Amino acid sequence: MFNLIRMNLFRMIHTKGVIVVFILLMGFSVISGCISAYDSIEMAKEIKEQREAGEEEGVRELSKQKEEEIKQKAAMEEAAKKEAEDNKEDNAAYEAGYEFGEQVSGSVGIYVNTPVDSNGNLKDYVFVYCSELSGGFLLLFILIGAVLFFRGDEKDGFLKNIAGQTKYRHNIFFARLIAVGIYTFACMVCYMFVEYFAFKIGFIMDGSINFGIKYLPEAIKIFALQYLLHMAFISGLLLITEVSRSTAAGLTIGLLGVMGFGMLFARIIQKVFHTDFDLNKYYINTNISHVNMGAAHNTIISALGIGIVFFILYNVLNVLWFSRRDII
Amino acid sequence: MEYVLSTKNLCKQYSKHLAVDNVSLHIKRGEIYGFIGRNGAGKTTFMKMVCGLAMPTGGEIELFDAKGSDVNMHRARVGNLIEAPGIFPNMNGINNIKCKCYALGIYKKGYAEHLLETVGLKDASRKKVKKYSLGMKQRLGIAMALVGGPDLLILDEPINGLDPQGIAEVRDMILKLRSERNMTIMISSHILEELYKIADTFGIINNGKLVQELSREELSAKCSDYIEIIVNDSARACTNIEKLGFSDYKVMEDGSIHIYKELDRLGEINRELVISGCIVNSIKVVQENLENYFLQLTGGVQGV
Repeated sequence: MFNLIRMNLFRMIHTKGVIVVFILLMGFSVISGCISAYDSIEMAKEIKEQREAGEEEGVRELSKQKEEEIKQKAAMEEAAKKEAEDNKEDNAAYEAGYEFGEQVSGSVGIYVNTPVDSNGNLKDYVFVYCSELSGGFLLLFILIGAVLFFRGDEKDGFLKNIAGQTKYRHNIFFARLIAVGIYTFACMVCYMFVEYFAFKIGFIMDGSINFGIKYLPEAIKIFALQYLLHMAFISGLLLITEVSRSTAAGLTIGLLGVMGFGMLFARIIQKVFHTDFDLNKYYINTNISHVNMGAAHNTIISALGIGIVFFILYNVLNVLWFSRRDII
Repeated sequence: MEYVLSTKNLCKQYSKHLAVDNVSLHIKRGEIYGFIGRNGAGKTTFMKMVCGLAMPTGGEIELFDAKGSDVNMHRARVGNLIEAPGIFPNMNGINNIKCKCYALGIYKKGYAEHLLETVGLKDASRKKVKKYSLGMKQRLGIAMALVGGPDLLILDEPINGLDPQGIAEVRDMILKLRSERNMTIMISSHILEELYKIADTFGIINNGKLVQELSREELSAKCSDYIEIIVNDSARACTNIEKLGFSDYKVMEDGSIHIYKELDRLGEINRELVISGCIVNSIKVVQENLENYFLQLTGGVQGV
């Protein structure tokens, strides 16, 4: 097993597609970090100027445009805030007074909210990072690399060399899965450090950003849960890729899933069967969007359950399929 | 242990299509086994089942004296090159070999280089595989199959698409592996004459069924030249043939007589038959080759 994991990691660092996706992700993190940093600086400046100009009650009345933005944001986050307020004691974000952003569920697309305080300042990086994890951007990149890697050895025929000579074929599957897990972890961690560094660069001219060490326990909890959910989502895609024997199928379904197209299916079910049952709540990507700093206890537990169930289910099905099928 | 590999009524069914139909095949230790069959005859499917890449739907495989689920424990001793070589085009030759070495837990320094030297790719070891010629890829595929020093090597069409020089190189390599490492090799090919040059035993498969399994000597006998005589009275002709001292002859189902030795006495046989009152409709030396014999067994030229 260790040998197979080592082989897969060796293969991974020599797989062009995976490396390209990783570099693009790191590039994206730099750009994202810099843009967020400058946006934040601009926003804080604007607020300051408006306040100095004598406008009333800060952010809400800065300008009509700002007011609209905040109203929209408030509407989107209302439910989450209510839940968060119910869990004040466990809620690091609430205590910190941040306007943490929960991603928009119920619409198609990818959204990331930048958590800012009432002055438009972006202080602690862990909030930004967790918000981005829940936004699905990282998942989008990671899934492309994972699917390309997972089928790479079969596509090039390399699997024929080892599938017969390995005592237990399921070990090949687990070694691939562990390699994907390491890749996912590496992407998530490297993204964090690269983006934090980018933020630092972005703030060089005007202030700096704190990492948020005091919120680290909460952030680690969110990171671990997001990691589980990301792996569960990717496991589902790997199952689709494996059964369909098509990288394109896995990628397409993955991209549509991240963008929330599953919600349309949930709505169809509601309309066809005239039921209030919301399938959307059980989607992994919906749960990814709900898990953020300051998320309610119930949200965390529900996401944890869904992550574990789907991770196990997808991988059990995949290992059964992989162990019994013919290698082409 | 007499046989390295033997199968008993091995079957593989894909929905309604029976790709391999009750094949019972035997490969002795240290021999080169030539596996002959037209396209779609079931060669690759059979080889995949032996290598553990495809699951049989019936029958059993005995590998290194192990049966049933114990066979999996011995599959590490089977190297294979099935269809096209399974290699990563964006890696160089040495990294491809290393990749398989890691999978099998081989971390010996210089091992990959040694294998590439064995197949004559030492100078191209750092070159990306996508820049290799077809022959180089095939040789790298064989090197991959040799990782771990297998006792049984299964090569499916290893000389497919190679030029005459490449074919000769692969042939020499296979003979060298057998002589130096006492490796048992199962090899399939469409180039029957090439297979004939290296194989000790031949298995002919057609429509999923093993039509014949015969040694090199038996095949040589079947594919040798012979005198074919067509007369009006076979019995009388046989009496006269025996009088001339011929014992190695056969009377075929259609009444023709085949004599396998002393082909230069054709004129003498003809004279004797005429004198004895036989009407000789035809007497000639027939040149039988491997291809004709193969076609005869597999039912004609279609699909070959």
